[in-house]
Amino acid sequence: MVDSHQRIFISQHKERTLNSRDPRFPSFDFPLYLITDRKLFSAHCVMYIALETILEAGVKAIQLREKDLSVKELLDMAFWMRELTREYDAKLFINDRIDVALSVQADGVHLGQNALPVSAAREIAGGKLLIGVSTHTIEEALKAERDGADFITIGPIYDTPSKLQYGPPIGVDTLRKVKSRVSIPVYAIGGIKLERVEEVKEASADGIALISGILAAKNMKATTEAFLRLLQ
Amino acid sequence: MDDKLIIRGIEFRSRLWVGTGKYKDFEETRKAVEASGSDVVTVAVRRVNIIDRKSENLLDFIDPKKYKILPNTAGCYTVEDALRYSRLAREAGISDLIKLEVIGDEKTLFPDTWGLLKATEILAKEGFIVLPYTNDDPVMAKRLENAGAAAIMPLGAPIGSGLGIRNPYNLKIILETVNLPIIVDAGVGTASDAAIAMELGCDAVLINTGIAGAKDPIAMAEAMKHAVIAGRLAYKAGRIPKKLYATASSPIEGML
Repeated sequence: MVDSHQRIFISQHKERTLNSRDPRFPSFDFPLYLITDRKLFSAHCVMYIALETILEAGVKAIQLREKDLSVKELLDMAFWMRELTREYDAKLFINDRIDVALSVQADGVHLGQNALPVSAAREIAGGKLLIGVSTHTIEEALKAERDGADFITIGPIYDTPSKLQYGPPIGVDTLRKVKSRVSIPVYAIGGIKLERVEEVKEASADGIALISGILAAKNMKATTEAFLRLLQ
Repeated sequence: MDDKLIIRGIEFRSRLWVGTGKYKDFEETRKAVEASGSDVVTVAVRRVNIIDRKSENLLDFIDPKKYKILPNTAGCYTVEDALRYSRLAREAGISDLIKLEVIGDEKTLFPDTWGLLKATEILAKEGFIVLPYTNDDPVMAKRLENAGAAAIMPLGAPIGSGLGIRNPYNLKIILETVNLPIIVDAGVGTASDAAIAMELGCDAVLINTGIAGAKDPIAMAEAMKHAVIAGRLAYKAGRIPKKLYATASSPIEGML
């Protein structure tokens, strides 16, 4: 089922040809991992437009994270996100729903602590998906690596409205400790602003994950470019 | 008295246009719009939902049959973004009208006139009725006219500043040189500001913060309504010339 606002999005993209290449991975060529939150926008298609701006600015990985959608609605969004990310040669990850990730040929699935365990996800996906895991403590990070995750996010590093549910910020020290004990890529998440990128880099994060840091910015293009410049 | 504002064949009942940002909720927006007597409501496509009918939608409060919905591209910092949101609004069936904003600076929200001119040209060619938000710059206003704009919307002062009409002389030059409706967009802080813009001969005034940010937005909406009507009437009536010395109100010449 295609919603009316998605039809609008489609018509804007009708001139473009479908790219049917096989996704190539694994390669962690993305220093910035953008996570969606449609509630920051007035409508789905408005978020797509914003994401297109961000992709144009050079973001190479997006996680579709819309936890409160029905799986049917999520699949709709995932489908169009796949079109969009493919066009900009960016990776698409789907939060929690491995079925949706496989169905739209996403590059990966990103599992929360209450989602399917990594081993089960691997069983289902085989080599078709990268598996990312959200972690909040050193123990969770170590476990994710043991279980076979391809990469993790760890946070919240700093205070952030979107991560309040995960407790107080863990700080860059925890990030540094995690980095010294795991060998898979580690993305720092939670309250990372431009002026904190340097500190996160010094703690040897492989990249940063952002939601409102970009999606709530006034000038998304300039903000994305500024983050990417600092992450180079 | 037939004194209607017409833009590309579209008739406007009101010369006060209002925005929809910064209100407490859609209900307060509705009340303020109603009190303003305006028939034109501008909406930032990026910020306010007028597209997705399944979620809370402003158009459930502001009847698009009663009001002309004027989508705007507030919050767009690039030509590409402004084009995308304009097309989105049109394809969603909202309107061919677009209040085009290409913002150049986060702090002052001054327009990026270079980008604005480019976007105006492209959208006008695509058949949009383009109303560009620009500086009070007569040269740029003329260029926008030549690029196919349907009206010019110069600022009176920065968006949300409430500083009033800072450069009436520039507005006068724009009014003289541009053969399009001139709608003052941004800067109006209180009723007298709106009246001044109308007395200058501007064709309409667009107000958002001046109403939404007032202590009592509903009352201020009504005040603005009267100010715009008063200013327009005064402009049409033709004011007396300013003189240094008194002239008696009740002349006695010829009475003796």
